[in-house]
Amino acid sequence: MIVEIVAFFFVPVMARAMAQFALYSARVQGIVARPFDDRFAWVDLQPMTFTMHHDDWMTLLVTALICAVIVGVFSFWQTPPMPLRFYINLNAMLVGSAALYIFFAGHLGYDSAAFSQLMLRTAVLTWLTMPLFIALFAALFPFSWWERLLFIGITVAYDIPLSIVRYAAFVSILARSGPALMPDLYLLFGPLLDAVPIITFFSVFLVQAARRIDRNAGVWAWM
Amino acid sequence: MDVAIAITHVYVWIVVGVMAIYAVRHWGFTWNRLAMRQRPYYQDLIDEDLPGVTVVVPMHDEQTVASAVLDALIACDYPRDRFEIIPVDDHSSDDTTTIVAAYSMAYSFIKPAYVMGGERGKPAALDRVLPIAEHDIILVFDADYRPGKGLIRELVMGFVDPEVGAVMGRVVPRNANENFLTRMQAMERSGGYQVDQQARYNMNLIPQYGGTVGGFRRNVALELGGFDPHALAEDTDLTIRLALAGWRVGYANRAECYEEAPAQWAVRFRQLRRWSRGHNRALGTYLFAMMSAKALSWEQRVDGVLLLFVYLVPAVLFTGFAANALLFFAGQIPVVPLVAFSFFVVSYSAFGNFGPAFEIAAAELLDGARERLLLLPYLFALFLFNGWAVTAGAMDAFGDFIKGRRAKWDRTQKIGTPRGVV
Repeated sequence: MIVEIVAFFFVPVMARAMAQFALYSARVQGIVARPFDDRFAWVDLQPMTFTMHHDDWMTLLVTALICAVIVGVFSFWQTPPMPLRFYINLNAMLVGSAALYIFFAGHLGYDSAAFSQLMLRTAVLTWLTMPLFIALFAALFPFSWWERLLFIGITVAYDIPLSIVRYAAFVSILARSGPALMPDLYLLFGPLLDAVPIITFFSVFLVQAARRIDRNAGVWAWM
Repeated sequence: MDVAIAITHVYVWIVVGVMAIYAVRHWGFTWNRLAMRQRPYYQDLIDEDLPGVTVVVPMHDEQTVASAVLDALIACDYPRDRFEIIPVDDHSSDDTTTIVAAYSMAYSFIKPAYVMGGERGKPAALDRVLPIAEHDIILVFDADYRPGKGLIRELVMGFVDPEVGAVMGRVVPRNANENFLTRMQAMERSGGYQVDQQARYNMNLIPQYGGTVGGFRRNVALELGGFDPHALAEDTDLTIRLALAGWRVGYANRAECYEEAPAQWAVRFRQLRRWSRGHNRALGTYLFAMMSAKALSWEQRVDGVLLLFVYLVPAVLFTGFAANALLFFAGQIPVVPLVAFSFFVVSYSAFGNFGPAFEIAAAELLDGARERLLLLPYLFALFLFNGWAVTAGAMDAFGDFIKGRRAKWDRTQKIGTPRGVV
């Protein structure tokens, strides 16, 4: 609850920092970017439009073809571990289908402004819901109050710079590569990636709790 | 176009709803296991007459492991006059037949059955043994398992309760430290048995008879029509049929038995795919019967339905991911369900027993496996693999249903891990 309250008050500040860092990073790299105002819940956001590379029809077709070849190769090549092959294939399928979609429809549903807006809104929502989600995890286990607080606090604190740097990186990648990468970046490296640190920090803190329980063997007497 | 987008939106919310239901279910199981009163099994009863028991070991080309399982069973401390072992040599083309024959010459209570014609596979083998078994209680072990000395007695004690139709012990991989895959499977197994099965037993729901390290009453199995030779998940079949007929499944968490977990990705993929195909076939067969079962309480019916759907959920997840991708292409992705979807996907990372990360963590905590807790994040690597294999199995089951085709039994390849590898 404490972390949730802190997040509630600091989310607007962090969202602004996220927007400004990406804007600064884009301009340093020579990407033409222009911010505009947006409001999500009670948070004022500052998404931006930025120049994005646009592929011609030949590039799109070649992209789709390369992705199809990658899927084919990693479907039959047995040497790499299966999870790695599946993950590469999933990425290739997303990029390839996005390229084909743009080829037929002319453009994706998101332009640079809408994508920027989506990234900022997702980050705000993630920061606000993450403490609640982690609290549900933590409620099951014998953490002390300070372990609980640290677990939730550190995970959220880790996610904030991750989101900020990732957003700037996405803008930089899309400005150079074009929108065919957009669904892949958002769906596989977006909010999905935010949830991974939860389990990581959870496991570290749980080892601490397990050590404490080991020292007090009496708690297992009921078993 | 707008209608299609609206339908896709609704579907994404349904997927998130399904995951939320399973999250609540498993959160409840974990809470029950960590914080509530535990229900003991029957192994502490000491003044009961031990009933007669037939131990069945189906074997198909098991020359690398046959001797070890038979040696382990011979070493069991169960009274010899109430004990027989039936190794079922099921169409073997290697030295299994010779090994089994040699043991039967040396020990009078080893009475092998040789199946050289007709259907192949575990359910068919069990079906052939039912009429010839000498005793009413039948325990089943796969050939790669190593039962401990007192395991037969521990499992059999459950049958002193006249309401118990089947019992199930705990499966533990003995080659957990062999490689990354076996470590991950050990964690999955741990969550599935230490928390999931025990909680269902505590809550008087439907623990699953798992087809090995377990047993059932022969007469009940015969009354229920025996085993379908074409079933790929005869364990799920029997669990559901027992529940529908009002029988209970007992779960013995302390009755541990050691198995050889698949150490190769392709082998594990085929195993998961077969389980999923068989389980989803059971879903199609028993769903409506389970929903309307009069012998069960409403909690048991809900648990039974969720149990039947377990191997369909990864397919639902994958289609949910595809729906999100389509909405992204159309510029219509909904942020709230997507964030929820992402959290759920990561916390659910072990689809073999559908154990979320917190359930596996609780199991490792209970097992005192402190170091393994640090491996929890790596379960994410398994997520895509498990989801893919289970989804492929669900598609196979759907194909079976559409084309009316019969599945063929696919044996899990074993290499016979040396005893030192633990």
